[in-house]
Amino acid sequence: MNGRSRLPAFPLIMLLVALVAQVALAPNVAIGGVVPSLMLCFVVLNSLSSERLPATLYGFFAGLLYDLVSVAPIGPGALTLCIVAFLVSNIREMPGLQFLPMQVLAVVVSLLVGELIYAIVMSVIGYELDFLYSLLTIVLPATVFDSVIAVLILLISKRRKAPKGGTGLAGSGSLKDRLPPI
Amino acid sequence: MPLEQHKQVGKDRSLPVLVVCCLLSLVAITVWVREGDGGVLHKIRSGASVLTAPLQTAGSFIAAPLRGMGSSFDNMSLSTDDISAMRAENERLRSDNIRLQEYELENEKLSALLDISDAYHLQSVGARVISQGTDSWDRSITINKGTNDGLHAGLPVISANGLIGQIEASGPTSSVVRLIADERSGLAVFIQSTRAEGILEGSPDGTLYLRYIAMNVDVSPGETLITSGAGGVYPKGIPVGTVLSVDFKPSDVYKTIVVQQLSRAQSFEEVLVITGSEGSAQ
Repeated sequence: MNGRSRLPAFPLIMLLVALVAQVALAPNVAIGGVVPSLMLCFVVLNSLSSERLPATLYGFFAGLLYDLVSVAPIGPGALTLCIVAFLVSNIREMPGLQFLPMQVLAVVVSLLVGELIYAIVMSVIGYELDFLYSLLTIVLPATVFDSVIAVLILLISKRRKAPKGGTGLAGSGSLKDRLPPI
Repeated sequence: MPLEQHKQVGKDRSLPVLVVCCLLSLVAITVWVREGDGGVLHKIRSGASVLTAPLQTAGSFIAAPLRGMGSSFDNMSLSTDDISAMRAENERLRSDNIRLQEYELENEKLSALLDISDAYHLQSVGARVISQGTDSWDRSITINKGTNDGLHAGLPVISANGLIGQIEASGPTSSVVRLIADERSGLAVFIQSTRAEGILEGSPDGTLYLRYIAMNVDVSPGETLITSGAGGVYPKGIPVGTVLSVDFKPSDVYKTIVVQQLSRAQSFEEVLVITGSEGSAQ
């Protein structure tokens, strides 16, 4: 409650920051044509600290904005990110997720699932994919790229929260308490 | 607390909301595919591109050192042999260039004699690349010229090395160029030596494939592809790429040909948009 009253618009601000970074910075740090999906990173991290309903809505609108600034058809991003947001917000209170390694694992797996769903959606709407080749050249490199960024953000946000009686990066408390609340 | 939890569970509308969001997304995809370039969603995206162009320009300026880092990562895969081979090729290309300049002079004389007007006298607008594509699945760039400079969707775009792609959408001050390596691109090309015509298609991973080359056509790696001019979008004779590999099975109807693009998306900063030929303007 306290966090909500202090920073009600925090995820919205982070969404806009992610959008600006996706448009302005992400294309310039692409490696081998693989562009990091900062919107997916935002959705996964936000969903780990949000209730299902707001997480799903944030996922949908983040995906819609992602579609608008790309050259792909409008809709696949929104579809993917709302599904990912829903799934991630469902696992956020899973036992063990208060520990850092489990949180990192959850983030990495969520990002992989997100990239896979996007690939499947693109395939369904008409992109001719050699699935194994696309998996090796786009999905997995993009997941690694996204994971590095998302885990860095996760660590920074935890470090920012740690002094309040925590025990460092692997301190106690759920991720909901440790990530910025909505 | 249990009562609050009970209320939350009872009022959990996340699943219906998810279903509605999924349906809205599917409707958006369907509308996008069916409406064509003049549709509402396409116009909304054009509006969005006007808003994002300044961000892309600023990002391109700020991230110039990072872009160099990305190129360095790409170049890390080059071995000493690769670098030696590239140096040797560079020397060969220099000598070729001198020879071709001689041919060009000779060609100009012959063209004047024969009154041939289609010797690549193209009208063009120079533009700077302000952004690469924003996701891994689409091969596109954004350039800093738009409808204010007379550009519009459909115009071909070239770099110093050859064909890059085609303008997909134009705003007042910027345009999105769909690269030939994009999955939705396709253009008619010749194999320069045999004049066999095929369709060059991109793919989501950026690999270029030359389609519809019959099994009885001799194709070998290293052969150059040029635009055929069929379809009227791309002028005839612009170099596009070289054959990288040729594969086929006895049961195939066509050969599977992988093409290496002459212009790598990461390597160009300035491009030319072909707005017409000098002949057509006169």
